[in-house]
Amino acid sequence: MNDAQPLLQVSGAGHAYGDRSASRWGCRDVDLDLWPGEVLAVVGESGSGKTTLLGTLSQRLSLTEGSVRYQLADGTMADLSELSEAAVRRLWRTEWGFVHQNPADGLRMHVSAGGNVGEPLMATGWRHYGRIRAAAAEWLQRVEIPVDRIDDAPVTFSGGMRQRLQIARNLVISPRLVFMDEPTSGLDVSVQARLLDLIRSLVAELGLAMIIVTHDLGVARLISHRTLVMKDGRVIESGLTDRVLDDPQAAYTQLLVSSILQG
Amino acid sequence: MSTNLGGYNLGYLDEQTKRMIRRALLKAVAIPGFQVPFASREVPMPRGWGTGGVQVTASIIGQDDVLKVIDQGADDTTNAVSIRSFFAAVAGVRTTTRTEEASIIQTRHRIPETSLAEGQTIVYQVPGPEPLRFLEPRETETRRMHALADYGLMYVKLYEDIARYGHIATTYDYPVMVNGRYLMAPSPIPSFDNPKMHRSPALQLFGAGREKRIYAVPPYTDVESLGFEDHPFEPQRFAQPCAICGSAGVYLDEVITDDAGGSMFVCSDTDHCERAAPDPAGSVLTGDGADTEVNA
Amino acid sequence: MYVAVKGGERAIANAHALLAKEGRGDPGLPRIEQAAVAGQLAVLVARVMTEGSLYDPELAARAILQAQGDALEAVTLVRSYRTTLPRFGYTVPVDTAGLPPQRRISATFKDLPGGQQLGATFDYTHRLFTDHDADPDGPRADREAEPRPDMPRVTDLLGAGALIEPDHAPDDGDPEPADLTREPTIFPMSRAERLQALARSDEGFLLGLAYSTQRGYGGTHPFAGEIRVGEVEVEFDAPELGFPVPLGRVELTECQMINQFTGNSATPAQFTRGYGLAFGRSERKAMSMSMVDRALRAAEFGERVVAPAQDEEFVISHSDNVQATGFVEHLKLPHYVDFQAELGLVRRLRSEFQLRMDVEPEPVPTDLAELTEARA
Repeated sequence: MNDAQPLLQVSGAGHAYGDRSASRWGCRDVDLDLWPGEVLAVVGESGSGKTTLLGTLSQRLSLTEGSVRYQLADGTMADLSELSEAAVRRLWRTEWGFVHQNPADGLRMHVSAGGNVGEPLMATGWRHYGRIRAAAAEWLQRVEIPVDRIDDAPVTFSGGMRQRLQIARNLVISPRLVFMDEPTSGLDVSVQARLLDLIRSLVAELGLAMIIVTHDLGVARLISHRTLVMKDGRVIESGLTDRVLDDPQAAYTQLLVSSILQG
Repeated sequence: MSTNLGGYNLGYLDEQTKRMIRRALLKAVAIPGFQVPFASREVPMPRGWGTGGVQVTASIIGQDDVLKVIDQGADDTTNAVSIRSFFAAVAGVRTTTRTEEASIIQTRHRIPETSLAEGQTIVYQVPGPEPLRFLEPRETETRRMHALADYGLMYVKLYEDIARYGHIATTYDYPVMVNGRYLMAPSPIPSFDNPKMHRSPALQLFGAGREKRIYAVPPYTDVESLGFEDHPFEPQRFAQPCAICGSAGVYLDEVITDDAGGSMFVCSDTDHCERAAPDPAGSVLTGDGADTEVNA
Repeated sequence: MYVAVKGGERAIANAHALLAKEGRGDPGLPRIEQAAVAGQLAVLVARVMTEGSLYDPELAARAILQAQGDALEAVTLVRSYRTTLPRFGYTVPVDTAGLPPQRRISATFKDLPGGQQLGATFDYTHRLFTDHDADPDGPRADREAEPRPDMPRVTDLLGAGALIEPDHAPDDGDPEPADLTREPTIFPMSRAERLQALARSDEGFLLGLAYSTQRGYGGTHPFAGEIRVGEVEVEFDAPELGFPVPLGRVELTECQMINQFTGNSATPAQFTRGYGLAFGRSERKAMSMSMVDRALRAAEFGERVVAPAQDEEFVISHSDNVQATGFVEHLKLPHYVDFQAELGLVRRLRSEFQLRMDVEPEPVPTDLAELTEARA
């Protein structure tokens, strides 16, 4: 682990939809550094490019411009576009997580909760049923899912419970970096609050680095250290969350902040 | 337009086709357990009835070979009879029912009880070559999973079985790991037969005609049936011996003997049973009057 | 004493004899002549040729007779034979506009150069049984055939104004055709490979899929640009000679569907194509094929894949009826070894269940109880 380098180093990153000549830039010219244990929120309205940025950083969308470098476990910085598909797949299995907005996209809906949480372990070579099940049970407890639901499939779970299961499935392998795409939208306000509390405590406990995309400034305030504000595919402001939200510099950020209903 | 049907080449397939299949077989042997795509030809029997096994056998058989063909372990089931007579006609080879006399054994759904020896080749008929197919229907995705040795999904299935039933619920075509690298479908042999594949002295070839895949396990290769450390693979067992020959530790067929639910268990491997039977007259060839009724 | 009965070979021989007897029907009636099948059941013959991938009406007729009218059995016969034939090379691409067609219609224009020529079609017949005894030869045409005027393709007319996408990309070159019967199927496929697969696909399967696209399962709003039935010249491409060698004529049915337009910021709107081609008089097949062809091009046009007809792996993997019937019918083969394995598991799970329920096990016939695997 190399403390002098960030975990994720992004320079001039951009993704264009369609072919270059007549294309539309989903996001462009994005710079950011992410350090271990840091939570970065990417906020903006719909169409701002925040989801495109998340897709590009997590390798789901191709990088049209710029570079994304990641610090591997041995301390070397790797250019993600140069890694083989096998190497990227291995990162997903062992070091990265991705929490989808819709939990059905990140779970096997008809596999039991235990199977869902156990799968990443089995994919990395765990071969003891009892230990896999025990690890799954422990994680269900940590995300506050009743352990007696371990053999139930998430089709039978509420939205909030599915989301917590998705988080457990992602964290069971102790990742170093987790991407989250609007993890709380679509949930009741009280359920959202509980979920955010959970995420915050897990992040602190595990020393994760996280990039979380959200349109909700309140979510950013609650769990992130730093915030990137995006509009029309570009970053228009970035800095410590408290500073950005309490003392916005850019006009657009000021507009965003002031339009939140207080209360 | 011509309707003149001329003579067929030895072994039915033309030499170019045999060469193509042998190239696929060589690749398969070089990468144990890996499914090699091949341009499966039409042969004069329907897909699903052993065209893959037939094409593999046709590509390797020569006039000095001795061929045994079994289906469900028996030489006398109708499909085994049909395939054996096909090769007798197009390859002019000697055929046998005795396992140890055969140089090539084509089989559907069983491995003979008699241990195989070096120099023998066993050709399995395979309906579904992809062990992950019922977990992931897309060929494009399963191909990637094999390339990246991404087999977590298979273990999830085993985990779910144990959670639901207390046991792994696969009893045939039980998935195996070959040479520590590729997940393979051994064909619908009962799990009882799986241990015979491990480090067998024989060459094991697998042909899936309809799905157009060939794979192989070279002699003395590790073949491990999947399981967990605390729920290891357990081949199915029979508590009782064969009612005809008395053999224990062999796979048995349950034969319904009356309409009150009575049944008895007899050897699935007819060759083994015949030779182990205490009374040689215990199995009798019926003379006439069999019409179209057959007790396979 | 149970006796292991043998007799597989005898049984098969007897089954063959019984089949031959069924196939002959009433021995007092004359056998159907192969030429009669080829001449009077031409639509069935066309289907067997198309799905058998072999143009030989007499052979297809022979197959239909030997198969006792089972179309798929006939196709299987033809394909098995085809596999044994030597291959010399490829023909020059046939020009379906080269010869005047027997039938040519278009739903996209009321009138067009060459006119609408109905040809021999069931389309406007009343589906009533005709009285053969009263009129054995059927209605007669009321005038001599006139020389047919020039009939350019509708898609060429639209193409001249770039209103429809070209039928191949300008930089495609002249690649050697792939041959599905010589190379293993690997997904994803090129359009050419897909069309090859669709040409030999089961007519009923494609018909159902095409129908589904009209009912909301995917959907490309097709118009029948042109349907042509007629003969074309087949010329063999002989590189050693330097000129093509005419081999004769084959009868083809061709369908060009014109589908909803597409376009983006870089390319102006154009209609898109679906293509179908079959041997003989096979309109249903050619039309269904053209609709499924277009549905499978969804990815090319950035359309969402939402329906089975748009799913290449699903459609192509299940469209070959020889494979399909082989596998479906193989269930008739003995599977008792695997069934025995499943029986064993079910019995074991049931006995464990009983133990867990702490209930007296159900009484079973004594011999079965002795013989059932007992789980410690």
